[in-house]
Parts: sequence; C-alpha cells; structure tokens
Amino acid sequence: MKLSEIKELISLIDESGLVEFEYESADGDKLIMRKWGETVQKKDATAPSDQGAPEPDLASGEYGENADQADSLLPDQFTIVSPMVGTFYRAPAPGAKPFVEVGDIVEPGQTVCIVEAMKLMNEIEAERRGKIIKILVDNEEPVEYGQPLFVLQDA
Amino acid sequence: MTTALVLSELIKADTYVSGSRLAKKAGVSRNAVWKAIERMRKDGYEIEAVPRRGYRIVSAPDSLRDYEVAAHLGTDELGSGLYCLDSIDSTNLFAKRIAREGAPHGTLVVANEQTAGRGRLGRTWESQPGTGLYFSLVLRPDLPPGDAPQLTTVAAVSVASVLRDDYSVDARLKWPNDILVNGRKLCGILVEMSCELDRIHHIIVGIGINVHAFVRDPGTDVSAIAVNLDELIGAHVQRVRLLASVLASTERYYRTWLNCGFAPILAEAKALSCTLGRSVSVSTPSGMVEGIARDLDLSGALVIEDSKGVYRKIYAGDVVA
Repeated sequence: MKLSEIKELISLIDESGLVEFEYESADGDKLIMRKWGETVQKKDATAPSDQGAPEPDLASGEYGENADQADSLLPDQFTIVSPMVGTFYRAPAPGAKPFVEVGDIVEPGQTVCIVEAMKLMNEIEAERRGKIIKILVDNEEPVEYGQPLFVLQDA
Repeated sequence: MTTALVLSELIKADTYVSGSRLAKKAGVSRNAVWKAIERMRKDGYEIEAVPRRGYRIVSAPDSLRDYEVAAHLGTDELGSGLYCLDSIDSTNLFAKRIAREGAPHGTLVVANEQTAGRGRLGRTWESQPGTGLYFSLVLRPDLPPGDAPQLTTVAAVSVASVLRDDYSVDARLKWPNDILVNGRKLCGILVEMSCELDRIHHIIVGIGINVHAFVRDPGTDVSAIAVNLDELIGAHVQRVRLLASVLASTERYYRTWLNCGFAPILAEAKALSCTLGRSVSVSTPSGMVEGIARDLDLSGALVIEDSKGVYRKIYAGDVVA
C-alpha cells in the first residue's frame, strides 16, 4: 500500500462518522484505524460504538467493561483508572482550570484529577508519561473502583 | 533537644525541680540546664528559681515551638517527625511536599499561621496567626485505597472525643467530618491521598481547630456559624496541650481502626452525629438530595430516605440544612 493511499484513507475516515476501520489487502498488509479524542467525544457519549464512555456494570457488581476497555486499546495506549468509589473532579475547585485537557502530555506524578469520597480528596496521578487522548468521565460524575478515567498514549 | 527534655521534666513534675535533677533526667550538664531555662524565659516562659528547691514554671506562653511540642507529645508514632512552622501557606500543602520527598509515617506539621489555609475543593480555611491549632499528619497505612475514606471519620471521632472528654464541650459530628457545637463550627478536617490502584503512597490528614477568638472587622459577625474553644469553656486554652491531647486520641483511634476495623469507630461516629435522624438537604455533585438522614453505611456513607421512601447513599456532598 502506498503512502498516498494511506493518507487518502485517513482523510476519508477522518471526515466520516466511523470510529474504527480495518483493511486487509490481498497480499496480507493489514491496516487498523481508530478514532479517539474530541470528534468522538462530541457525539453521544453513551453510544455503543463509543468504546470510551463505559457505564459501571452495577448488575454484576463489578466493573465488567474494564477488561474490554483495556483490550480495545492500541499497544501504545493505556488508561488511568479510579482506585476507589467516589466523585470525579477535573479541576481543583469549581470553575478552576482543569488539571488536564485532551492533547496534554502528562509526566509521572502529575495530578490528572481528583476522586472524592467522604471528603477524602484523592489526587490521582499519572504513573507514566503519556498524552491524554480521551477523558472518559464528565466532571462531578460518580465513578466506580477500577473504572477507566483517561486514555493515554505513549509520548 | 535539651530544652524539650528540661521542659518535659518541669511539666511532669508540676512543682519545683532542682537543677541537678533536671540535668540527670535530661542527661546533660547543669550549665546546659541553665541555658535551656534561659532560652525558655526568652521565649516567654515565666520560670521561678528558688535556692535549694529548684525551678518551677509559673506561666507558659501559647506558642508552638518544636521543643514545646516535643515536650508535650506522649505519642509513639504520631509526631515522630516534627515540623513546627511560624507561617506557611497551608500545613496540608507543606505535608504533601515533604511526603513526596519521603517523609515517614507519623510526621507532624504544625503552624502558628496559614496564609492560604485550605478546605475542600478550593475553599479557604481562615487561619489568623496564633488563633487556631492548624496541623497535618503524614500517614502511610498499609491498606487498600478504597478503605482510606474511613480515615476522615477516624479523625473526626478522635478530635470530638478529646473536646468532649478533656474540655467538656458538647462536640457533635456533622457528616462526614465537621465538628460542631450547638450548630457552630469548631473544627474542620481535610484529608488528601496519593495512591496507586492497590497501594496508598501517603494520606495527609489536616485538622484546623478554632481555639482563640479571631480579630474581626467591625460589622463582621460569624458567631452564628463558627465558635472557638476559649469562648466555649470560658478560659484561655493552651494550643500545645490541645495538640498533644488530639494526637494521643488520634493515635489511639488510628490503632483501633487498623487492628479492629472500622466498626467500633463507626459506632462512635453514629452516637456523636448531629446529622442522623434529622431532615436534611445535601448538596451533591448530581444535585440536591432531600430527606431524612437515616444511617451511616459500613463505609461511612450517609444513607438518606427521600420523600418516596427510597434509600439513597451519599459518598460526597455537603449537608447544607
């Protein structure tokens, strides 16, 4: 497959509503494209095609989608998950600038959000360097133990 | 630390102690004892010296110097590392900074003044110089992070029991961690954690207690919402003594929590609660919840029965009415 063809495919998919695209040529070349980030986020966040906005599986009592979520990540992608049940805050105070935005590069130890329970403010830190490519939870939403909060990409 | 040892002996004795006895107890020369006494006098202690009887403390200043805190503390683990600061932005911020650099479990940070005292979610905690007791503890419990929110209740029960037992004040808990007396706030607690999915790096427990009256601009009246300990007991409270009592209590409850679990602490929190049984409005991130506060669940969450008889659990929110 020529570079120009790949470029053309990228722009076609970019303009389409597709979030995932797989192509296998006759001679065995395989191409997989997935969309993360704002384009997808602006759509209905609960749409089934959107792998990024999982709902806690309350019926099973566990966070069932967590494994699927991790499986669907590309090899250079990883998530930051909530270590406890609580409320998710993107900023240190209401109206303040969020800790991180999509596109930001975070360093190990950098605070990315707060999860609060019983007035214990848990500052969640990035454990490795990466670029934030998706924020999976809205500000002030409840989160479960083990629920993915951010998708990052090695940077 | 000679000064701390000398002061500690004088406090314990509560009467005259000879210079030679002080020297022996502190393991220093009589000259070193004399220097320690002079230093304390310079710092505002009134110390009587009577020939053949020795030294006696007549009056002590209300300060929080390191040797004073060290002399009063009777704890094993809490206060094992000690930072006494005259002025700092916030004891929690300072504690967080030193915790990141490896400050050990039990490290205590106490400040005479906070220039940017903090509450939850960017709220401020007013901390005028010398008026309150402002301190933070660095804790490193070997527990799953999911258990850590119980620590706010552990801290609240620890402080409330000191206020009740040592100061005869009717301290009550407003869910989950404010301490009120007759509906007026006496103490606030802010707990912050840094952790991985299965391991706690550190927890900072910040406690602020209103001890003396604030200097107020004319026309400002906060007496409906806040109260100080001096006013409640009608005497001048020495902050270093209050600190020592609160730390001793916190160490006791903290050990109970680690050894016996959350149940005994939860039982005390329920008994001291001024939220349970009342009709309440709770401001939560997902909106106002109104109903009767029925119970605290096993994790410390507030259980509210709404007007339709539905029970709802609240993990984060402010009881506003």
